Amino acid sequence: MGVEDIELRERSAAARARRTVEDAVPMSPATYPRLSNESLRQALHKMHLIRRFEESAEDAYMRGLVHGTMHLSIGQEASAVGICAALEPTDYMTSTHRGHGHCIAKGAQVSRMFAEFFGKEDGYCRGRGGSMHIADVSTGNLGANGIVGGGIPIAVGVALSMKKQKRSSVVASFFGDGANNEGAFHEALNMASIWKLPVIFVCENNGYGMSTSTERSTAVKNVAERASAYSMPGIVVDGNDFAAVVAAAFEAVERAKQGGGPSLIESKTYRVRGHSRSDRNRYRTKEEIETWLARDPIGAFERQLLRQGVVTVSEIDAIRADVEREIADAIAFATASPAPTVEELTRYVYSD
Amino acid sequence: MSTRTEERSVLRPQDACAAHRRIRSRATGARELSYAQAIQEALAIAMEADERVFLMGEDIGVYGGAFQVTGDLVQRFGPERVMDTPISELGAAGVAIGAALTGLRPIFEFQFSDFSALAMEQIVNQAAKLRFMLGGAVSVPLVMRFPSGSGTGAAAQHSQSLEAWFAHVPGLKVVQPSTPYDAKGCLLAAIADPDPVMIFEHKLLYKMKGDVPRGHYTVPLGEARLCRPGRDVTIVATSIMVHRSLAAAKELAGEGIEAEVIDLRSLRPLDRDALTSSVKRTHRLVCVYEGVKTLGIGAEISASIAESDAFDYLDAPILRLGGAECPIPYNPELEKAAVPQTPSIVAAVRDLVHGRR
Amino acid sequence: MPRVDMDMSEGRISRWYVEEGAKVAKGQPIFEIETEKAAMEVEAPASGVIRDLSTTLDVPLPVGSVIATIDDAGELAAAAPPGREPAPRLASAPRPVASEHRAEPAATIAPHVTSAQGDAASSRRATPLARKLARERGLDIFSLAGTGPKGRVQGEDVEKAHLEAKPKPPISMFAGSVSRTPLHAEWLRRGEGAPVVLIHGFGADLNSWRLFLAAARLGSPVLGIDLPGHGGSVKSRVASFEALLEEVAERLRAESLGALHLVGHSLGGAVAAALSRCAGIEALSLFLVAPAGLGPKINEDFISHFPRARTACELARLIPLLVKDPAVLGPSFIKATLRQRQKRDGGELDEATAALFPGGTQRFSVRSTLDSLAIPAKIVFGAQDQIIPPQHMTGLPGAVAIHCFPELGHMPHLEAPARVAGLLKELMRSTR
Repeated sequence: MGVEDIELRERSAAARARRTVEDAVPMSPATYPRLSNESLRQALHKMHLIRRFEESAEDAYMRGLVHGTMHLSIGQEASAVGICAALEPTDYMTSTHRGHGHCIAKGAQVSRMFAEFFGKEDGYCRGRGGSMHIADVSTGNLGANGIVGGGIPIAVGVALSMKKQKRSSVVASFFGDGANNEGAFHEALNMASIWKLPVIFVCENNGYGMSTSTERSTAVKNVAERASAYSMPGIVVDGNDFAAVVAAAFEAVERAKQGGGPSLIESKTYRVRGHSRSDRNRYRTKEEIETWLARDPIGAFERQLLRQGVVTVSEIDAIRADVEREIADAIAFATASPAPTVEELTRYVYSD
Repeated sequence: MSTRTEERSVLRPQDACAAHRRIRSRATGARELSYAQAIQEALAIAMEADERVFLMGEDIGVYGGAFQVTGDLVQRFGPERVMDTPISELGAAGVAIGAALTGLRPIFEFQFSDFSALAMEQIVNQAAKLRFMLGGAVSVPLVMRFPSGSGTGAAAQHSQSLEAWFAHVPGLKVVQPSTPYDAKGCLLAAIADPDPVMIFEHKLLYKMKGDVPRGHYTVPLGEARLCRPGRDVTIVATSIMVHRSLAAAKELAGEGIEAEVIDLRSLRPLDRDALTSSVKRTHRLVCVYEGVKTLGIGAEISASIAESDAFDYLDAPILRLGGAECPIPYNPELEKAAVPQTPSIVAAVRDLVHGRR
Repeated sequence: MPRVDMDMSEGRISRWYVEEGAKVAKGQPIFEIETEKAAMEVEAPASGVIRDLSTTLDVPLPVGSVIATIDDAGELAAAAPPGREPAPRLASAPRPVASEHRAEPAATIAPHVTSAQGDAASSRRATPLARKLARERGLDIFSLAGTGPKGRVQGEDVEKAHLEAKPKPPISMFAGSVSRTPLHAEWLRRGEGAPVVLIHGFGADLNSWRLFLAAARLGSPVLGIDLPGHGGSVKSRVASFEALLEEVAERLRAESLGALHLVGHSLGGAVAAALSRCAGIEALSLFLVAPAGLGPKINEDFISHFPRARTACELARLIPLLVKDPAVLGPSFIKATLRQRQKRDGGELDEATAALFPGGTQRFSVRSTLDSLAIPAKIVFGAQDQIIPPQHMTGLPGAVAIHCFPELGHMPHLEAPARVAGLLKELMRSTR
């Protein structure tokens, strides 16, 4: 365990929050004792893939290929990839309405995600769920959830299931800052704690529940402070800093696997796009958005990896090119995929 | 107490049914159990047979459940499998769903069905929809039990019959067993079912006794039961109203009115065939249920008949007897007046058959 | 010309109750209309003065043609304001009267008396069942009296009207053999609903049902009939199964029973089965107890000796052939049978034996009847039957319910009356 790790744990939540905003100094190589260079390159690849997936989805939306709305997580990629980097394929995850990044980070194929967005049979939900219910059970993603806080108790149930079945899997439960004021959040944290269940609660605090800022909605300064009420560790990390996120994630996963029970990670980040496609950004300033744009997690991660010699500029170019090809292939796949038939409208309501 | 035979018994005559039952009773060693004991026995059988099955609920462990349904199961199976939850209906319902999604078979007890209002989000938005939203990639084999109904003096927040709420949601199955036999058989069927099943148990039925075979058996979900054949009118009843309707039918028989009584048993799926075939024979339909009359299960039954080919066989308006348009009151006389009782069923059916409606 | 019948396209005015210029009140009968099926009065759809009365009687007029107008009483004094609707008319729209003119689809759904006000007569109350039955029976629902609340026509109103309007039964194909003396029949029970007709077996009479009826408590009216040569019908002789059948059919038609349930035992079972297909007999169900007519064999010993038995001793010997437990047919049965024998010479039964069961053979078959039966049917028999071999009850169509009592003989209805009655009631219920 590196010096930075100890330092991370010792800093108070408030201090970490301050650091999030004021200080974006990249982590040293010692931050990644558990990740190989190859894993780091894959992490970068996933962050690019998420970014380009969402940009392409936005483009497809504007061209009328996507039905309904979507919630983009552009700017939050380090948080999704950082948490999932600490998870095994056998670990579970519940996600949120802003769940594209989580889904890709956990290992989903963008081709089937596009197919879902286009409402096709090859989509992860056979075109029945769309963006807001995107899931990939094969990689442990039990689904994005249209109800704020809806996935949190379910994650606790999955953890209970793992414990009862003596399986070593842990569960990461993603939710936003808005969910921290839902009863489900509090009930779920309490139960996970009393039963010492292997859950990592991940609050991706992007500052706003739709238009309502956390300052206006939440009594505590940091959501992580809620953890103390449920007798579990709570930590604030810079959600735009891959190294910070991944370090906290590994620690929480380790605790969970060792029977130490749940943890709460508050990953402070920012959604660069609006809440959904209908957002007119009336509740925040251009300056605020630009400040966060300057702290883009992908650029920061690339600089860090370059500095550490994990990747070269040409390797980054290759990653970007790979991602472009992947996205183009995925869209072609999704476009060609058959649409569900109306005859099967009520299929999957009950088991056949 | 009448029980059902293994095959679909809807059109089996009373006497043949009785004979069949006697034979069954010998073969399977049926004996009298209370409704609550029958449920407890089903829980024990399921937990014995399948270690994935476990119970969750408030005070179901050492306390034995508010209505002593789980009794001393905790001593037999331990607190890991008879789990007391905090008073967190919403969260605990979600926990049950998460467990069901990943290989377990939770059976969740609401202390009172009224408290399910706290958990509606998880039941309606999650349990009922996950399979569909994910295109069939998951299923939610969850059983929830809801002690419900009035008659205990528990007033407005502990006496409701909310089954129609749930029956309105595709993705859920909703049953209301009315006998100890069905209580055990429906519960075992629900546990074996891959989808979420909501079981509404009337609190006044818990102490009612009836023949219950030993061992494992199931009552198919979605099948109504003919309790009493008759020629003049079909009474479709649910839960405790089945017994009040049977008592009414007995009284009416003395006046020469032969009422057919059907125990709906399952609200979703709804056994429309049993209803239409009966109405085609009797030409009259009365629905009796405890839930609030307006927009209740009676509306669905009535509409089903009106939409079906049984419409042409109706020789009188369809009648609904349901709960009054008010919360359940505390005063015992008011409480009784708030839901159908045997005399009100007798009077309504008599009027209908005699062409006064 | 109002539409008073579903498939009516034209009608004739048979008489007017009012004259040109008469003042009429809404609801007052103003003329009579005759269709192919019925004559009925038509009421004024509005109050006012009759104008332009069509005087043509007994000439077919298309539905929708104008036969008169009713002027609003006030309309005469003051000129109608411009743009005002014309006065209420008896027809939905004025159209030229032309005999070949067919009503347009719009007019075909007009109520029978169209009126701007939509008065009560135009929306006759009737239950769906009544409407369905009226359609099936070819009756005009609007011509029926309703006994339900607010004059609602109910199913039984239609059935009653149907029975009254029923044509006489067609001439029998066996008219020549019909006896002048009608068969003896007796109402054994009063009750409600479709009657049950009981037809006894060979050598018995309608009284043989009494034990069964006492246990059955059917609730329906029950008519017992004595077969030719039996009981109170000794004056009729049996020439053949067909002749016997026709006599029974004739007797039943004379009762005008309407829809009925047929129950028969042994020979009576065969008669009941055959009756279900006779013209003028509207059978709802068929309940056969140890029926004859399904196979060739019958116990010759019994058939030849039973009609001739004159003493208690002779009868007592035959009783174990009839029932598994002889105690079922105790001394009272023997006494009753002997009393019946004393009323006649016994020659009738010998004749019947020769005509129906020569040489221990059943000379008639009703199998073909059962093969294409359109009503529910049950056969009840005992596996210990020594009169008619139980094997005869096999190979029947799947729609016929077979109830075999392992421990009973030839008379299940007397050996286990309650259980057999239970099956009968189940069958009767299934027809409702």
